[in-house]
Amino acid sequence: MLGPKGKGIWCLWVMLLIFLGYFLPWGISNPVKSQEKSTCISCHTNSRELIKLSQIILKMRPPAKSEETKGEG
Amino acid sequence: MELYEKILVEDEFLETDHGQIPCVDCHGGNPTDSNWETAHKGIIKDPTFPDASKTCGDCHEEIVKLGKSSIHVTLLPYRIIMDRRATADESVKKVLDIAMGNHCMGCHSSCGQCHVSRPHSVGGGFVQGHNFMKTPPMATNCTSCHGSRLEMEFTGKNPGIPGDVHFVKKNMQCVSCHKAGEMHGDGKEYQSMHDVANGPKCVDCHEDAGKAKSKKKVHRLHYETVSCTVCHSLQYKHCYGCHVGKDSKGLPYYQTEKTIMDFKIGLNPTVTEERPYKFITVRHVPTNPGLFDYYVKGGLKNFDQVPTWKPTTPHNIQLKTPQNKSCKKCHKKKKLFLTEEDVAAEEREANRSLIVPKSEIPTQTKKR
Repeated sequence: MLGPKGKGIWCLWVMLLIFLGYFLPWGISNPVKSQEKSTCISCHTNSRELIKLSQIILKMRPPAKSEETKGEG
Repeated sequence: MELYEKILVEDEFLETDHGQIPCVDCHGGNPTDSNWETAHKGIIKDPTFPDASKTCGDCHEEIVKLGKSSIHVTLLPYRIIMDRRATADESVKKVLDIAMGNHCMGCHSSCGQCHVSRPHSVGGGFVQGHNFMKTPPMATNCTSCHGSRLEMEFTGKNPGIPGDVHFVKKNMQCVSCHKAGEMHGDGKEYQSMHDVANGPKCVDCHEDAGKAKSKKKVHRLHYETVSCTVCHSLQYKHCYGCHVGKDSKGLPYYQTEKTIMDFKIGLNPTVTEERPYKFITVRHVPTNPGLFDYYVKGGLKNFDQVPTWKPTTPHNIQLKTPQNKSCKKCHKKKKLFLTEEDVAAEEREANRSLIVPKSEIPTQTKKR
């Protein structure tokens, strides 16, 4: 049997657990959650989307290296 | 590597510590814009170059502070060499700066170009889906730049010449010898890579080889007069000539002349306590007085101020080599030494401090 002091401590623990369970997942800002909204992540983790875009980019972009480069650098 | 692979972020990265940082914090751009073209306006491809203070430096303050002086970032030796070779004319120097910007200064690295992606100069692209790699992998982040000479030597890609014993037998990688302290810099602006503190020394592991009381007589006799590579390396690559320009599309190009395999022992032009040797291995580097003629004729008017043969550490170390088989395989062997005949007439003055006079070629073994 718990005495009045023991009951008090037990109640305190329960309240602390409720507090942590309620506030922690939602209250503290979570960068991963915030990144989920980011179009950067949704696009850069989607290989199909990137393949489509890279085809467009390659058409727009000039070749990166000159064909006149010869020899060992 | 396809373009999309270069920019594909792995889900795994988002679970890492670095993956918790919003993209926009380092790369800029607009993460709420669904139009990829406008979303990328102002994007910073490599937020760690030229200054990583506001990105990596937030957590890795000390490394970033010291890293600003790293030769991989500053390319200071290139600048110093070209400055010495250039004419004193300031207007010409400005043109040379542009030329160097177009052709030379892109070959740098940064925190990101070692620990996240391939260096830009070799096409860039994430190595592991934007995951941060504590140790940069050799193939993608070391030999992708240091390929023509070092990789070929180290891994045995030069026909008929075996790879370095440290790689072939022990599977050692670049980082086995070249540690972070050397790569990251120590805050000092070194004028040459040979001066960098914390660089590897053979005697760090092969302690006995560098002692006056070495167990091996051959080490006792040579340890202060001959560098380790003189006895323990094989033929290595020498490149000659280089011209740069821009093609009809405005793209910069370079054209080097001949490349030959050879082994040459020269005089040590800078004898120091660290490198007390009289004889060292030397390599011809791809340069010539007309390097920047496309931009300005005669820009390198003082070309002779800097040698075209350089002290080098061939990366094809072997225990046994043709020249260390016996005393006679090196002593009196004129062809192993860099003599006047090996150096083009127009480059002789520049290389005077490395050319071995015939009288200096060891002719006989002295008993001690």
